[in-house]
Amino acid sequence: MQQITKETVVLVKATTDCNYRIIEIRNRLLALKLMEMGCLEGMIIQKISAAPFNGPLIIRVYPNENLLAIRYEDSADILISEALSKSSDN
Amino acid sequence: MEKELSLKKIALLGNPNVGKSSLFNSLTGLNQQVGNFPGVTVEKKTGLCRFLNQEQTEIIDLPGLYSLFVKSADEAVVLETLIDPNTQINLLLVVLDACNLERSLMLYTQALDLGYDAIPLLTMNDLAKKRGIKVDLQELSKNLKQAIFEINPRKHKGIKELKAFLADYNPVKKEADSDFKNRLMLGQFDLMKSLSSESKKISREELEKSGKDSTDVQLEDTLQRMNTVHELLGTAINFEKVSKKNSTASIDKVITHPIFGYLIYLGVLMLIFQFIFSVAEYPMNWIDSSFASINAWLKSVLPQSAITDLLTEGIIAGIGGIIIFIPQIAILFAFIAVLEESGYMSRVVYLMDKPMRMFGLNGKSVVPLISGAACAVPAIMSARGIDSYKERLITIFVTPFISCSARLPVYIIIIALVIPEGTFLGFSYKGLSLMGLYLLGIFAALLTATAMSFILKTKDKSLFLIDLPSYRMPRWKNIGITVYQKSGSFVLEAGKIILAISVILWALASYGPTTAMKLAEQKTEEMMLENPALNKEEVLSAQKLEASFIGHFGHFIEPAIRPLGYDWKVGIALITSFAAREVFVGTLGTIYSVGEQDFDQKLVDKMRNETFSNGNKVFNLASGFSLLVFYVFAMQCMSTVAIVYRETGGWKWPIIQLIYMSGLAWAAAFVTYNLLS
Repeated sequence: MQQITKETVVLVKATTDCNYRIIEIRNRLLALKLMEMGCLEGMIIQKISAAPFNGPLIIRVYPNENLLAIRYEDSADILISEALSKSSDN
Repeated sequence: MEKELSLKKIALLGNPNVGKSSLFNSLTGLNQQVGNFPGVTVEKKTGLCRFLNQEQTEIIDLPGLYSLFVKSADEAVVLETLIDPNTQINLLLVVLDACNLERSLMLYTQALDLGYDAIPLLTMNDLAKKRGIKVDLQELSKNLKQAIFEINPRKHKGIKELKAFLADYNPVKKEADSDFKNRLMLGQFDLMKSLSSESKKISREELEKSGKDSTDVQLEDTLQRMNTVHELLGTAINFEKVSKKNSTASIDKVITHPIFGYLIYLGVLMLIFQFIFSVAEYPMNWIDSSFASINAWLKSVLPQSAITDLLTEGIIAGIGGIIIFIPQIAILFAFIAVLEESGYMSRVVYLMDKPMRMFGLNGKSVVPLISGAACAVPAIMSARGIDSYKERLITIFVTPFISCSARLPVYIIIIALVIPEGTFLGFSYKGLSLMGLYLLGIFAALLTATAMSFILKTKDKSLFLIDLPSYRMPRWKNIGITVYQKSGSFVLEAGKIILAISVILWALASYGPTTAMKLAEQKTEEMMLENPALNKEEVLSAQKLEASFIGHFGHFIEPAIRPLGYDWKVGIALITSFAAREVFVGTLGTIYSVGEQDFDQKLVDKMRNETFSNGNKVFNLASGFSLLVFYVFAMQCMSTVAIVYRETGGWKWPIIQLIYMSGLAWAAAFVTYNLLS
């Protein structure tokens, strides 16, 4: 299992103005469901917004630019790279 | 082994939000039926379509899903329909979303592995182009070794060509890939209702032997499949950078904003509420008066007889009681269809997930709960959009606790009777009491939902993960069809139960033991002699109601309601108000012989002077509040029972609900009465 290091963060910590690469999804059921929805390890994502009081997060999955909402608790299982680039969208 | 077959039944398969329903509507028009898949509350839409001069072909719109490795009992119906050895489906139209080709093709390859002949239909290509996704149809078709149709059902593009192609198409059924079928079994045998316990046991043992769990099996298959899909796609898909700003992203900045998002949603809810509460009133009043005038006319032209009474007071009044719901159902579903079609509903789920989850409810439960304040019947029907079975059931179960508009006349008359004039911090006691009753209902709904979420067990493995589709203009034809279907299925399915109960209630209130009914007439004559100023008709109906079977029943239940502070007259009104709560007021009017003029005021006066045989007042603060609390909690509504029966597909839940709500109502009224007296 990938260690959370200086180079990796969990999705909840992502900022909305940057793109990140998914390194690992550490919950198999979540990984399965995300895969079925077209979001796999290695893909680039961007956090778009978060509902208040630790509500769900919206992420955009590249290259299809699909929007997915995922619960805050579940997003802690998604390990991402350090910020790749400033997103062009913001 | 390949078999060539004539086209018998076609099923539409695809991910959610890819325009499958639009395609279905384009193919079948109004020629469709909505029912349930056996044993579950998942909507099954079937329709007929004629391809050129062919015979009519049946088309099934399967619920949208991402994978045949299903995550919930609801999705399981799709798999069970497809693997049913007796299925007559011999062609699948698989809708591929050009914006999400990988996941669409994943489902497509699963369908192929089940041995189905499947024709891929590419939709959303206009949207994909805007996002810079370029799909090379020829290349893809070459890779798949299968012709692909590009369609846009929203604009009716490509449908004619598809129909012409299907007109002389002979589907080929192959043997299913046995490895895949085996993995399907191992991955989800516990969710499948059609499997015998013996085959479940075999699958469980095989899975244990392999040292894996069902998620492992599913992950392996899906990962392998995704790789296959990538190879199939090859160079058929290209992504270009587009400079144009994404309009969905701009709209989402406001719609999903942590503050404005909620304010907008509140505004939308208020708008819906306003429409089903106030605007629906006009057509409802019109329906009400139309049925009253039909009845009056029939009574004037038909001879006075029991059959005329049955027709007018029983059947036509009963049908009126069904039709009256249509404006609210139509308005609510028109709104919901717009919210769903435009893509807004997914944002609502995102916004409301956290607050509603605290009570075991779903983000989508808000619409039924708010609509419940107008009427529980359309509200419960709207719970169908909730994806998880458990959350849907909880929503259906607690919605009748929300005080509906039919409770309002009951509240108003009793509040007028027992709550004194006066103000507290500038608010009148009467207004505060009314607000208290509404809050009490909401409190009971949320508390019950929380309790149920702990009690109910589910095998669903669904995680909260939702796709937020791009915003689109709703397609008015789809909305029209939804409204037509919802109204139609209510009238046909819940309507027959409502009609049956209303005829029974009418018979029980109109007939009684012969001697008692004769005595009622005699007593009326005596009363008229004593006081000729009385209105004979009013006195006679009061006497007859008391002598009827319902009157006897009122006396019969008196020992059960006496501890709540009610007498047998209130008992009669409680029973008749099962037809609809507002009937309570009308029944009391009949019992106390109140004429139509100044009805409310006269009724209040009569009730105020009503005494028990020992001289104590029937209606005081304690019994009044007890009655109010009773009506907050009790499921006093046959239409609600009928709609819960239809929506849950059986009598189990409506009966549990009826017992629970009536029990709670009795207990709460008992406590209230004893605390206040």
